[in-house]
Amino acid sequence: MAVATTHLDDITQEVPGARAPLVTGDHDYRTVTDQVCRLAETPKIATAWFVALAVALSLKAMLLSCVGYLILTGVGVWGNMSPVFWGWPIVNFVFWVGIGHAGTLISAILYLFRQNWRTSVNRSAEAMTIFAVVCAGLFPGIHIGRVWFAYWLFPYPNTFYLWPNFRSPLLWDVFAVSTYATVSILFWYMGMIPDLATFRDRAKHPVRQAIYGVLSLGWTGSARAWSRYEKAYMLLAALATPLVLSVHTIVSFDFAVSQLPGWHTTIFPPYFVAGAVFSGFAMVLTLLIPARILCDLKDIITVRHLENMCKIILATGSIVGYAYAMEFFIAWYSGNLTEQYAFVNRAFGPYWWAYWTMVSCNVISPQLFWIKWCRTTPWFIVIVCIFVNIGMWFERFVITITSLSRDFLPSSWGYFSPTPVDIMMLVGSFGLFFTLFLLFCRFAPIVAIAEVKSVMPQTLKAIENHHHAHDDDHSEDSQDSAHT
Amino acid sequence: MATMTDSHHHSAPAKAEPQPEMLGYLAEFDSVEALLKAAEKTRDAGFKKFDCFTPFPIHGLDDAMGTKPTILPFIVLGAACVGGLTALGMQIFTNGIDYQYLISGKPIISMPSNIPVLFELMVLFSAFATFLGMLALNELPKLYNALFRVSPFRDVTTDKFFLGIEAADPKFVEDKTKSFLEGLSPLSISDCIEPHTQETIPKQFGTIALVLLVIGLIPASLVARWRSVPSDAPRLHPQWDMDFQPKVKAQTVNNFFRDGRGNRPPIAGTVARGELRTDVAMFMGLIPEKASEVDPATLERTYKLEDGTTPKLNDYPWLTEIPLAVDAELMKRGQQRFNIYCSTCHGLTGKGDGLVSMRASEIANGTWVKPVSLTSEGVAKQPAGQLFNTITHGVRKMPGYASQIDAKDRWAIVLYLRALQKSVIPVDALDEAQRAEIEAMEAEAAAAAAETEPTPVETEPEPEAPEAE
Repeated sequence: MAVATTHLDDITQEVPGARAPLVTGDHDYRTVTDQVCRLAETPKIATAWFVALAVALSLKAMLLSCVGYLILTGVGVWGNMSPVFWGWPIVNFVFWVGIGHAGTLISAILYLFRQNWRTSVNRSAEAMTIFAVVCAGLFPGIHIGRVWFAYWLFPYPNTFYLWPNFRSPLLWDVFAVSTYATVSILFWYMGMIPDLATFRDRAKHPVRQAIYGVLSLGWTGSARAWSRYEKAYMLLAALATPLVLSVHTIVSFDFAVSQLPGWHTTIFPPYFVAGAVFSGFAMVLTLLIPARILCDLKDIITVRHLENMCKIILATGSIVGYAYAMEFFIAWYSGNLTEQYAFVNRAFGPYWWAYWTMVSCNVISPQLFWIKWCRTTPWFIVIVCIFVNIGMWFERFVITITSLSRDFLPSSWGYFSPTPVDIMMLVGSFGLFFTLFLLFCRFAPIVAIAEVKSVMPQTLKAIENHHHAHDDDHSEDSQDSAHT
Repeated sequence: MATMTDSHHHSAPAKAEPQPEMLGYLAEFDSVEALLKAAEKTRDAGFKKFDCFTPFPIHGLDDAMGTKPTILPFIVLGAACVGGLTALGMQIFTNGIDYQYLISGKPIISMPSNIPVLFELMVLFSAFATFLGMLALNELPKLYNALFRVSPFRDVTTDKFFLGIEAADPKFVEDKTKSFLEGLSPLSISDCIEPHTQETIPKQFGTIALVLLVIGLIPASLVARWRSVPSDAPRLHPQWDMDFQPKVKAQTVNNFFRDGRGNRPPIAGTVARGELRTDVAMFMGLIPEKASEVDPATLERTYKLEDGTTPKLNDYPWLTEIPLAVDAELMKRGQQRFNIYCSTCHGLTGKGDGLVSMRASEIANGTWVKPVSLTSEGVAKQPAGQLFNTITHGVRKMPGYASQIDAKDRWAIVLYLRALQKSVIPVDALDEAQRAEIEAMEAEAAAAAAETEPTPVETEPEPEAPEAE
């Protein structure tokens, strides 16, 4: 069937048989390129960018000074204290790793499902993944106490004649997160090579030419290279899809494999993955809605893109809500008193405020996306997404803290209180994240230009026409053969 | 092969410089459709070494060009297998063979717990194979390419489409190929020429690279030096309070307690688990029936009677036999414990010539109380229980060893003492023949000692002495 490129007044409208254009406005290949390259090429940068960078850098400086203080003083600067030895550092770790998952989901899973709309947002989502994993990796890295021995985590022949314990979920986590970070960087960089070549060819300054020239590895846009490149991209997507599912599964094993009430449940892997995608999409939207205004990308990242992501948030948010309910049901159904107590304690114990914050942010707020106005109004989406992010942070807080603070032995129960360093580190990690993202917006192609061009209406039409011409050829051929 | 345009003839000097080389033609198109058509025609014309250049991947272009599918998936499959086997081998070797971990009684090699790492490494290896394989098959990185010399080619990454036919193609004939390309109605046709000019990297680059390399090697060489050269400098303590924790360590002074000891003795009147010693034969060395006659306090080394004298221990109802099954094993244990705890003062033979005692006599002559000879008649006559009591509580200047040597080992030492005592026969008790034998043996030993103690001057010039023997 013909790909309908009928001009729809409202691109969020669902018209059977018609497909809304993925790039709006009267754009050709050159104007799209101009638009994406603008922020990276203009010598005069918007003040907003500098203000944002200044704020992010100062938060990052706060984070780094906290890390320095922690290294010099010891992990006692945190609120981690018996019985809660996994305090905010682990909460923050799981939170940030989860954020990263949306990037891989957009770039890999939506690619395998041939969701072409992903092309406008996948690059920035992948960048977000990497920056989130950087933030995530920081926390367990400093949580080990003696940071300079972090390499003990890896199996290497050593003078102690010791090897790490491969039956520990914490070691699986080391492999999962480091593999995830590596593959995400490979995927991101490989996807950027053609766009870096665009930057190279447009660069005027010799230094820019040299840097982007080296980074783009001599890419010429050769069709034979594209052919292998596309195959490689598909393979990486196929590898990253189970990888992303495995990563949060293994993160959930950190909890589920230990025998603490509230943790030792089989629901954890799917529940964690859904939660990760949920929080990740919320973060993508929180970043992209300001970025599309700042970088003037409204024609490429359209309201329809935002709406699609809101639908994913609605779906995963409902899965998360279902998981919360199912946890309670299973606790009751198991007949295990300790397990039952753990859940009653979550909702009505000393951390009831955290639990109900989590429920209202994660279960109730995404349900607003059933209403079309809510999922097509950018400023409103940002508000809901911020709530989702708060809720997802609290989810990890509730899981980690409530179970640890009240386990089997009432004599060792306790109440966790964070220290100012805990709070400054969490806030500071956002500074690190935003610093990296702002630098990315300034120096790298924020949208996958080549991929967007391949799904622009004129491209689809050209290929369609070419195939039609062939169909005609074939019919002529068959007629010819019939004659002979 | 090298074909030149007229302009190049002029610029070519008489010197035997490398000649500019014609690499092929580059036709420029302005739309996807035009390029697809052109690619098909080129393919049908029988050209093999041609390529299209586009700003984005165009679906259908592979068919139009007749490109064969890439072998990349097979490379990745191989890498996945290598990754999986590496992970499996690593986990089985490290946790199952080299350093066995026993966790909750599970099998040493338990596959389920190896799956996560197995999976992760398969993905990791495959991802690297995908990326590096794609680069290798595409012959990237290739930072210099003659195509970049063609000025319209700059737009290939923005909005222009090119079709290039290489001069290396067997069907390439300069003018004919050009007119073929003109027939495809392109926007323009450019020559792609490799000028082969002797352009080299500026020399400063080499110097800069060398300097950077040297600077880069400094940290590595410093680390290598620090690791191989012993240092007298105190080690660094990044976290002072982690290395020096405000806590009581064993065998240290602590002013918190009245006696100034860090180590705490058991609280009076308490019994630790497993320490309720009701068996008086085993733990006190007394005859059980008569033990009630004895006040245990009088067994202490420092106990004094009211008149200031020490209790007469010789009259106590001591056990005469060792209350344990006596066998060679107990004897060996006793010898080993004796050699560790007793021989330092009493000497390996029990004669009182231990190294500590000899040294102490030298430096503290007059104040050092020499240990008695354990083989002397006085000691040999003591019942086993009394010897046990002496080891337990000490005697005169000798402290008690109950805290270091447990009861069973103290009895083992008593057994070994008995053996030592039996091994000593007074000289008076020997007959003539035995004396002569001993004297002969001593003489022989002295001669042997003189022979095996040659002066260094004699041995040094004879390095081949063993061979001569």
